[in-house]
Amino acid sequence: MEAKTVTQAELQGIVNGLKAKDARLITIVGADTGENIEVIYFFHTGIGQTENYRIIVPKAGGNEEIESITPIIPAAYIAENELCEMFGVRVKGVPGRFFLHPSVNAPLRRK
Amino acid sequence: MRTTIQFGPQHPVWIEPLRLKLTTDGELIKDVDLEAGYVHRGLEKKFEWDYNKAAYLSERVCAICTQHHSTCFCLGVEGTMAGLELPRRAAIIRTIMLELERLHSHFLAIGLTLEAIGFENMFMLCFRHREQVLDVFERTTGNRVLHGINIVGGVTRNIGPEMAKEILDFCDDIEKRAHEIERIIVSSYTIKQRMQGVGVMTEKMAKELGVVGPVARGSNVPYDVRHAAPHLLYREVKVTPIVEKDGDCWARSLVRVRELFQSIDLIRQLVPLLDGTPDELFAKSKAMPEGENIARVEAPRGELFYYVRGKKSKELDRVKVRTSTYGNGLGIAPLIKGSHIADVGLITITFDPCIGCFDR
Repeated sequence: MEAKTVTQAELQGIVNGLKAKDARLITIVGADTGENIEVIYFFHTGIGQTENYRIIVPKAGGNEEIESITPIIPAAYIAENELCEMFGVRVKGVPGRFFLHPSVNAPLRRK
Repeated sequence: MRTTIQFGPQHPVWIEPLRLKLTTDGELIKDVDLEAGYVHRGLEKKFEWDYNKAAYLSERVCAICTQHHSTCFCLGVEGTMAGLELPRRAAIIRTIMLELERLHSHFLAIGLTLEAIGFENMFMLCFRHREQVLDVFERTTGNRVLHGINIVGGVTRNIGPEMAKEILDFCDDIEKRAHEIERIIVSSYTIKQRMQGVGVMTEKMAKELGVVGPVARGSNVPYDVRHAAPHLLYREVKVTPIVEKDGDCWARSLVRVRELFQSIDLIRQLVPLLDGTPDELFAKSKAMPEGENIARVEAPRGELFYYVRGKKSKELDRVKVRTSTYGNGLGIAPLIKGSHIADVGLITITFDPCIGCFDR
């Protein structure tokens, strides 16, 4: 599996382009690598084809914030909320709570 | 006058807990608020352990599509282990099991849909047929529900010539039963009138919300992972997505009914492939999971996706489970909005929601 590392600003343009090509969002995956939080976007683009994009968010003591792609692709709503509640990375424009109780804070984030 | 009604978390129409906060004006739903997370078990965190044990854990995500979960997880991990090639016989056995699982899941979904509109006898009939599939599971894997035959690198149980014949005989029997169900449902004026035009999801909406499985295919979106990203034996045994155009509860149910015959047909094509295939069920790898990989399979409810990241040790670094109901979850609220209170149960049940999958 290959994922192209892009910046947040580039990602917005890429997602717009993918939407125009009728690609569908599979999901958004977050992963804590120690120093950074990686956010990987998976798109299905054709028979047997996927395009994957990775953005790297440096940890900033819980003050990380990324741009939302929900305004472009509404299907990202649950995944972006889950990313927020599981890793503590705020996503602009989404509430950031879907599955977990407000008392539970970023359980997949490592120290 | 507007009234707020709590639909769930405990409601007779759902087996699992999901809460809908309905704002109604008379009989009409004006606003919906969906709340999930009642069975959140933190499974993604638990996956960060021994990958051999995690195959069993993945079965526990959902008891209905247990084989799909463990197959998808194993395919994900196998892709991170250098030089590991799945034996052909194991791939065939996995694929047969996936199709058997689709059969029993669709019988369950059809039964529950009919129960939601008051046909309890039809529910019993569907469950009687489902029992036949579970009996085959018991004969082949030793377990009715959580089969436990998938391990990273292959499967633990073989299907011998006698069992293969038994499965083919079962196909003849279950086909007759499926035809009976189809005849009753399709020719029933009452069922059709109750379900047609209720909870319509347009093609545009289905694409925007990224719904999967029979929900998408009922809305004229031909997205089936067996066709869109062929895995295991689906590279040889071609699958054409079954599509209905109307996008209502009737279309979604009809897709499931038609897929019963598709699964039976696939099993009939797969079982003869076992003949002459070496009895090798398991491939061992000396490499530990390293790097990232994704795997996708078509579960009965739709696309199932696993992301696996290894760290060159027995423990996995990160596993993300993106289930079918997770993909369909966004579609529930817009369909309920504007419908009648009496249709809420029917609309949600035609999504075949699995809240255990949704929350994980």
